[in-house]
Amino acid sequence: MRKKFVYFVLVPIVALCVVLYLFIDGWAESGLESAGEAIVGARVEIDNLHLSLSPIAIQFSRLRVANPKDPWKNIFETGKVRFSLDFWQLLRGKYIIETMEVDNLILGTKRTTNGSLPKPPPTPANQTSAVSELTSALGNEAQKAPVFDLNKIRSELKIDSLLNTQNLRTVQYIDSLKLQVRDASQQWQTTLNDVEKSKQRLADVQSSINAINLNELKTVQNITAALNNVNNAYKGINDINETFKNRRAAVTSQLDRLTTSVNAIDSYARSDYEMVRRLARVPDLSTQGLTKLLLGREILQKVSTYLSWIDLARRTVPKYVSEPKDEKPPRFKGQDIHFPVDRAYPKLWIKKIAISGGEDKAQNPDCFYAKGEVRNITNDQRITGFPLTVSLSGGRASGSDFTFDASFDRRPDTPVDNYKVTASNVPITDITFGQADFVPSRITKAVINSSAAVTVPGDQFDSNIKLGFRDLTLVFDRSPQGDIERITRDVLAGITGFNVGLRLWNTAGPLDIALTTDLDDQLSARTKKVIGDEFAKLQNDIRSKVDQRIAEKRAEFEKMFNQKKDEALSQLKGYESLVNQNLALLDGKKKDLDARIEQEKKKQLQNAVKGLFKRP
Amino acid sequence: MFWLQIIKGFISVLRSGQTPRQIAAGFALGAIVGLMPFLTLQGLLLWLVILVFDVNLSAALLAVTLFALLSYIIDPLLHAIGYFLLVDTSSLHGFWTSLYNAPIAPLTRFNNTVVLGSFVAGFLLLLPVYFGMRHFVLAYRTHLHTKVEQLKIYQIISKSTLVKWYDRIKNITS
Repeated sequence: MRKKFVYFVLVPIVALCVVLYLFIDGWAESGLESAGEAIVGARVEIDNLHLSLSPIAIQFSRLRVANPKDPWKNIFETGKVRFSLDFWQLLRGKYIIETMEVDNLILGTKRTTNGSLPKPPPTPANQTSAVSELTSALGNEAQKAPVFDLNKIRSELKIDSLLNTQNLRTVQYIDSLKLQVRDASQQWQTTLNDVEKSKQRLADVQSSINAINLNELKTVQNITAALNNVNNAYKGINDINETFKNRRAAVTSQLDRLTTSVNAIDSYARSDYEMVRRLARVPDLSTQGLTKLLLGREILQKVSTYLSWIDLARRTVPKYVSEPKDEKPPRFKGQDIHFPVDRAYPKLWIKKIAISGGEDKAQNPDCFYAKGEVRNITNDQRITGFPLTVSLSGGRASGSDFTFDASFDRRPDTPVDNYKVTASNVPITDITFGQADFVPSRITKAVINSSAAVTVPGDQFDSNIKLGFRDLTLVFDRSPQGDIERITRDVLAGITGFNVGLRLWNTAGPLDIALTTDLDDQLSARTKKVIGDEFAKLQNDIRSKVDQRIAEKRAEFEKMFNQKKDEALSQLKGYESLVNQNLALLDGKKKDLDARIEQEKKKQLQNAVKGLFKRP
Repeated sequence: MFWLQIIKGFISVLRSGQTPRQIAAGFALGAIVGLMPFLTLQGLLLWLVILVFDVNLSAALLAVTLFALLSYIIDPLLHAIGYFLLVDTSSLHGFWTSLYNAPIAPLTRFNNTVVLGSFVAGFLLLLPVYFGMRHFVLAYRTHLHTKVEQLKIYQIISKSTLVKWYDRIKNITS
C-alpha cells in the first residue's frame, strides 16, 4: 500500500467530497430554479432543498412558480415535495423517479415580490407555432368586430372615400361592358356595310322587274321568258334574304347577351353596397351579429390568453426523442455492439407525480386547491411508451370546482395534445359586456359554468368551448346617451343568464370561428326594433350614395348602348322592309305573268279549235 | 522531456530500489491500461490500483506509453478480437446481454469491440509481461546495468534539472 498517496491524495479527495456534499443542496436548488425559470419564463423559487444520498432523494419544503403574464401572482405553489431517484439507473446516467409527492398544490396565489425575469433577447420571428399563429389570427378577428357606436360611426363614416371607383366592382363592370358594346358595334357596322352592298342588287332586280310590261308580251314564248327572269330574280332575292336573316340573327343574339349583361349590373351594385357597408363597419342587425358585438371581442381575447398556455405546452413538452449528443470520435473508435434491452429507460422519466390539495382552503379563499396526478413526464415518450397525462381536480372555499385533464402524446410522428377542462360555480367579476364605445357595461357579478375540449393534432387546432352565465348583474359605466342606449340598457338589464358556445378550428386551412348563444333570442327582438331605424338610415345613406355613383356610370353606358342598338336595329329594319317590298313586287309580277300565260294558252286553244271547223 | 524523466527513473529502478516484483507488477498493469482506450470504468480502477498499491510508477507510466503505441498499431487486431467475442461467439451472447442490462457494466463500455479486444489482450498478456519483466529486471541487475550507465545519453538524462525536479515530486507520492 502506497501510504503517502493515501494520506496526501485519497484523504483530501474524500474531504473535498464531504465539502461538496455539504454545499450541494444549495447548488442543486439554484440549478433546478434556473432550469424551471428557463422553461416558464418567470421566477421559480425552491425553499429548503435537501439532497440525501441513501436513498438518493430530494425534498424541498416549498415550490413557487410565478406567472409570466401576471408576475405578482404564482401559477401555483406547493407545500412539501419529495422524490427519490432510482440509484441503479442513476449509475447509467438516467433520472428515473417512481413517484413524486407534492403536497398542498394551490393555484393562483398572490406574491409579495415581483416574479418577472429580466427580458430575454427577442426570439427569431420564424419560431412561430401553429397555435401562436392562431392567437394572432384571433387578435385580428377581434379587431374586425363591427363598431356599435352610432355617434362614432357617424363621425368616422366617410362614405365618399370608400366610394373610390377602383373599389366599386359595378363601375369596373360597366367599363368592361362599354368595351364589349364598342366591339359589338364595330361588328354590327361591318355587317350593315355588307347589307348595304346588297341594296344595289335589290335595286337592280327591282328595276328589271318594273321593266317587264305585260301589254308588250304577245306570245307565250315572250311571257315564259319573262317568267323565267322573274323566277331567277326571286331566287336571287331569296338568297339575299337568307344571308340577311343570318346576319340579323347574329346581331340580335349579341344584343340579347349584352342586354342580359346589363341586367347583371344590379347584382354587382348590391354586392358593392354590402362591401361599402362592411368597410364603413356598420353592423348588420342579424341575430348572429348581436352577440358578436356584445361579447365577441371579450371572449376572443380570453381565448387568446388560454391559447398562449397551450402554445407553451406544445413548445415545452419534448417532441420526439432527445437530441443525439455531438460526440468526438475517440482515438480507438471501435464498433459498439448493441444487445437486446429488457427494459429501456429514457434520460428522464418521472412516472407519477401525486398531488394532494391542501385541507385548509380558508387560508387562501380566492385560490384553487388542486389534487390529482401527473404521469409520465419524460424526454422520450417513444421509449416509455406512454403519453404525458395530467389529471387534476380542485376547488376553493367559495364552492367553485374545476377539473383539468390533458394528454400530450409525442409518440406518433404528428404530436397530439388533448385538453378537457370543466369549471363550475366560478364567480366572475368585471367582464366587459358590450363594447366600450357602445353601451359600456360590465358584468360585476355572475356565476359561470364552463367546459372546453381542445384537440391540437400537429399544426391543426379544434376547440369547443361552452360557457353558461348565471345570476349575472350588469353595471353600466355611464349615463345613457340617447334613446337607443337607454332602451338597449333596459333590454340588457332584464337578462339574468345566457349560454355561449364557441368553436375555433383550423382543420381545413385558415382559422374558423363559430359563436352561438341563446342571448341573441333575448336581445334581438327589442334591440332590432329600437336601433334598427337608426341603422336603416345609415344604410340608406350608404345605399343612395353607392346607387348615385353607379347610376351616373350606368346612365352614360345605357345611353351609348341604346344608341348603338337603335342604330343597328333601325338599319336592319329598313333593309328588311326593302327586301320584303321586292319580294311582294316579284310575287305580283309572277302572278300576273302566270295569269297572262294561262290567258294566252287559252286563246291559242280557242284559235286551234276554230281552225278545225273552218272550211278550207 | 517528461518521457525522458520516466526513462531515467525506470533505468534507476531497474538498477536498485524497488523489488523486481514491484517493477514487473507496475509494468504489467501499465500494459493493460495502455492497451485500452481512455475513459472506461476498468481503466480508472486500474489507475487506482497502480496509485494505491506499491507498484513501480515509472514502470507503469513507461508501459502505458509503450503499449498505447502498440495498441495504435494493432488496433485492427484488437477490433477483430472484440468483434469475435461480441458477435461471432454466439455462446457468449446471453452473458453479454445480461451484462448490457446490468446497472454498472455499461460504464465499462464492454460492448465496444476495441475496448473488449484490448482488455482481453491485456489480461492475457498480464502474466507473460509480469514474468518476462521480472526476469528482465533480475538479468539487468546482474549483467546489464554497468553497460547502460556508461552510455552518454544516460548521463545527460540523469543530470537534467527537470529530472531532478521530477524525482522530488515522485518521492512525495512513493
